[in-house]
Amino acid sequence: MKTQLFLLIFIIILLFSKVSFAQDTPRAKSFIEISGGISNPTGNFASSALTNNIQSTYNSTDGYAQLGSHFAINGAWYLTPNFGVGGTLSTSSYSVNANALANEIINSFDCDSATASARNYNTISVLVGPYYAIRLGHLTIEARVLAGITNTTTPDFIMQAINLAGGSDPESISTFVQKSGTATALGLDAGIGIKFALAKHLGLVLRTDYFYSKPKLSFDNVGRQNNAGRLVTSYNQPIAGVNSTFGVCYFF
Amino acid sequence: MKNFRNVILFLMFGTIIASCNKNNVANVQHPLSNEFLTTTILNLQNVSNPNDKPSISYYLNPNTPTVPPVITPDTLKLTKNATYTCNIVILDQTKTPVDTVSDVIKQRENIHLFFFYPTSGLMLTDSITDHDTNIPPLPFGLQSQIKTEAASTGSLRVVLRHQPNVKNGTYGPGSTDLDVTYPVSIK
Repeated sequence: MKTQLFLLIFIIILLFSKVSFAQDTPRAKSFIEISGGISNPTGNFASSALTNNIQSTYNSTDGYAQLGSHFAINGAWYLTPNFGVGGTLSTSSYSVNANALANEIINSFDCDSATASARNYNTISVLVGPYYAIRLGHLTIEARVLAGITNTTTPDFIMQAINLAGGSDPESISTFVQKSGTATALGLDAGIGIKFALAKHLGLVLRTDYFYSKPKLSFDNVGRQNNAGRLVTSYNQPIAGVNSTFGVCYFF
Repeated sequence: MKNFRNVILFLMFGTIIASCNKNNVANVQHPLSNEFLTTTILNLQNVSNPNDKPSISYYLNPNTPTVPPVITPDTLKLTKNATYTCNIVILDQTKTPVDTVSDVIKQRENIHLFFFYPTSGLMLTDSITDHDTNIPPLPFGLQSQIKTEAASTGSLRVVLRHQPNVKNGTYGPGSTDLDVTYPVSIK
């Protein structure tokens, strides 16, 4: 991940370093764009490791987030041939690794079986910042660094520890829920894109961006009868990842 | 060009609708256990006579469950009108080296509970002295105190209940991990 981030920053610096050489290139076109694609969560947000802590409850840093989708409306207005200001209104949605969560319940409670269910993580971001572009005929290579606010909403995590019926014992099912949480925090985004002009006003765009936000989420937990297993009451880990999108843009 | 644009937009919005908020569900079974509770040992000590340290072991080979258990010695011999501390050790003797399963059960004390049932003619009582870290703390039972009364014979049944997130101090919830019975003689 650090390598990816370093490469991204290096490419952005490289593009900005061409300012002095790019003055003769054609002016980049201002645009508005709609794009969608995948978002690959990273770090603790995407982690789902089994814990070794079985003695009591523990506040896990694992987010159990999996590959998700990302959609955005982007736009920029180029003030000079290379420099512009712009922004993005975007939303991401990440599925939850329910299988790993169920395995963690079995690890924590040593029960016969476990179920886990959750809807998706969702984020909505409004970010603004500088754009830098180099236009090479029909192609435009673009870099951007954006900042703003990101709202993150986590789903209900609904879990069941199940002991099957055996001997004179009936089946035992204990249901507990980590309730949904939401928080807004600073959001950051840095990325590059390549645009291809199909016509005077229409183009295609490919982007890859690294995004980062660190909301302070807190959760209510219901149905917890015993001090055992994963019990997350607060989560202050980076909601971070890499977005790769494809879209169409309108030049003006 | 217009058709191409429509296709792109259709695909994008289709993906949005399909992926926005699906329900992720999993149902996972416990992998086959490689841990056996083959041996259950009661280590007792008379609190007023340190030399009176009776012990009894219950061994059942998991590979031959129809073969009767081996109980060594054949009877737990206690002194009448005495108070003993009782410590339970549970081993898995299928492992090399032998695995002390009671250490793991101690780690999982918040979801386990021991019960002691002397037969009606046996003049002893067993009270649990250790508690877990639930709030409020609930009895656990790896350590207990046995008080004997008049001379008598009978048996002492020890049951370990596994109560994942349903432990409330009663026998009912959960399932049985261990159920062993020892012959006891009080003289």
